[in-house]
Amino acid sequence: MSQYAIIAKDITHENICKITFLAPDIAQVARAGQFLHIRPGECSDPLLRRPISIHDADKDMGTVTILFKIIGKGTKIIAEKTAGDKLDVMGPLGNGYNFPDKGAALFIGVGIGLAPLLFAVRQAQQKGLEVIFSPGTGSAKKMLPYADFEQFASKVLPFSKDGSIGTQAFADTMIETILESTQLDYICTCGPEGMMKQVAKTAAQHGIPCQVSIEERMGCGVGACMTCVCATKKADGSIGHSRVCHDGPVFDGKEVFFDELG
Amino acid sequence: MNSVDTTVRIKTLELKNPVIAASGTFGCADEYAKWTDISKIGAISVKGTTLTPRLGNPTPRICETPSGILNSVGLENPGIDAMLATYLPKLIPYNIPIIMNIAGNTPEEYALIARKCEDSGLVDAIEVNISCPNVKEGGHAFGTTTQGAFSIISAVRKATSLPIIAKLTPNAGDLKPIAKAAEEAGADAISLINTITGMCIDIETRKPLLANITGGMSGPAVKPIAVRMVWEVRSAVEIPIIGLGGIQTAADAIEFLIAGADAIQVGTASFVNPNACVEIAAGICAYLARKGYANIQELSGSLCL
Repeated sequence: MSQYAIIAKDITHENICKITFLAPDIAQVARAGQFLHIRPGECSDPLLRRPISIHDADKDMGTVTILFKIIGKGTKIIAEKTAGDKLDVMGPLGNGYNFPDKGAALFIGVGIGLAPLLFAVRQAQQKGLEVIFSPGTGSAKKMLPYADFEQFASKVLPFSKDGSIGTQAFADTMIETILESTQLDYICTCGPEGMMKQVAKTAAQHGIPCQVSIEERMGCGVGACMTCVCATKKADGSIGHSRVCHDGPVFDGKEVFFDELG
Repeated sequence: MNSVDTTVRIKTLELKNPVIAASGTFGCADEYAKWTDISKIGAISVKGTTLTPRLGNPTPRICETPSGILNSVGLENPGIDAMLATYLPKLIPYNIPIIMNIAGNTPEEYALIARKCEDSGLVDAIEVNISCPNVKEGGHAFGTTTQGAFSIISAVRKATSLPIIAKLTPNAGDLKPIAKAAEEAGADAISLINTITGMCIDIETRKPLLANITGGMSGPAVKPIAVRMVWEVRSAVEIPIIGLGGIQTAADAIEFLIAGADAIQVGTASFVNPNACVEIAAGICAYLARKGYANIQELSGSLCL
């Protein structure tokens, strides 16, 4: 792990923080879906690193960006840092999304779940996939700004529970709507567990490969301490545990037992 | 630095420095290999292993406390057979002693696991986790009574000639009689402390932060309790003592050594700084050189009163 120089910090919506820092070694190897384990400060309280997904990475500039909600002690301290400060980062950790080689890929997310999807749409477009981007929200005023995503997508299809922006839909009904006019070869989703469960179910019903991004409270972040496990289906069909930090955070939608998640 | 001898010996277990990666915090293979030089660590105490695989407790299994954490992993492990066949071999290339931490429900189970460890040829010492509940005697941890501790350690002693380290739980209160019982039963060393049972509550939901309700506390906040217990046990037994509990830096480790420990373990600190074990080993060596000690044994138990 290393100390990286922060280049820019912005706070929007009162509690959404975006930090860009200079980390060429991370930017070179990072894959969409991976996360960074970030230390709030040098003292022992708060103690643990915070796992935060990679929002974006630029290989040429050598920069990495995180986007996160300020929820508790640790994220509050990280959000107080400014340009010129150092950020203690371990990463990239975990696995990344596994895009198909070609075809149409839907990236559908809700709330702060959109955070890892920017890097995902960037890398998917680079790979030559047709990117369909579908940001969702409860209502328009809660929607995360998504202008940065649009340059990578051939279609941008927002949706909201109350219909105040885009199509009035939930994530699963939005996918059904999209499928009426578009064939999908892959679905990538990130957001609340209930939403991902519905997306995974819908994808399975239509035989579309689907990947989800699981969150769980973490300790070491590298697979050594066994605190961040989630229930997954093993090759023989029985239930086992996978480590979200090491075997995930990206999992096949059919692999995760959503009802067992803590 | 070359003139300082940091070797620690517990019977046939030889550590090139006094830093052991604590059980449950360093995995059972090489998860940390990308982030630190495992070959520079004195030894690794592998994840607590039971006879049969255990899935452990529901999540959330971790929460933060002031300068610490609670964990309720529940001894998730693949079972002794898989551990010996699949996971331990991954540690061989790093050429450091492997201490197998074992846990069970009955003295017979502990003995069987110990025998398998010796037969494998892969294990250099056995650390006996006696914090497990004695289900036949009401569920209190074996390590909270002298009879419980004695029964487990003597069963393991009969089963193996490998060095035996008895890992004590602070939940017993006074550890001196427990340590004495372990020594009488044939333990070659005592390690202390295991975690201290604690609880955290989310005041918005009024629910415990851990799915298991309570968990074991570790991290910097427990250090003074652990140092005190090492100092107390030092006066009670002759065998070597391995101190652990909240060590983050070499200075922390040196407190334990002065209090009476011959070696130390680093656990929670590795979550924050994966290089902690290596840095602490180097820091202890630098301190010994600065203070003019020829070897680490001169420092152990050198508390001035």
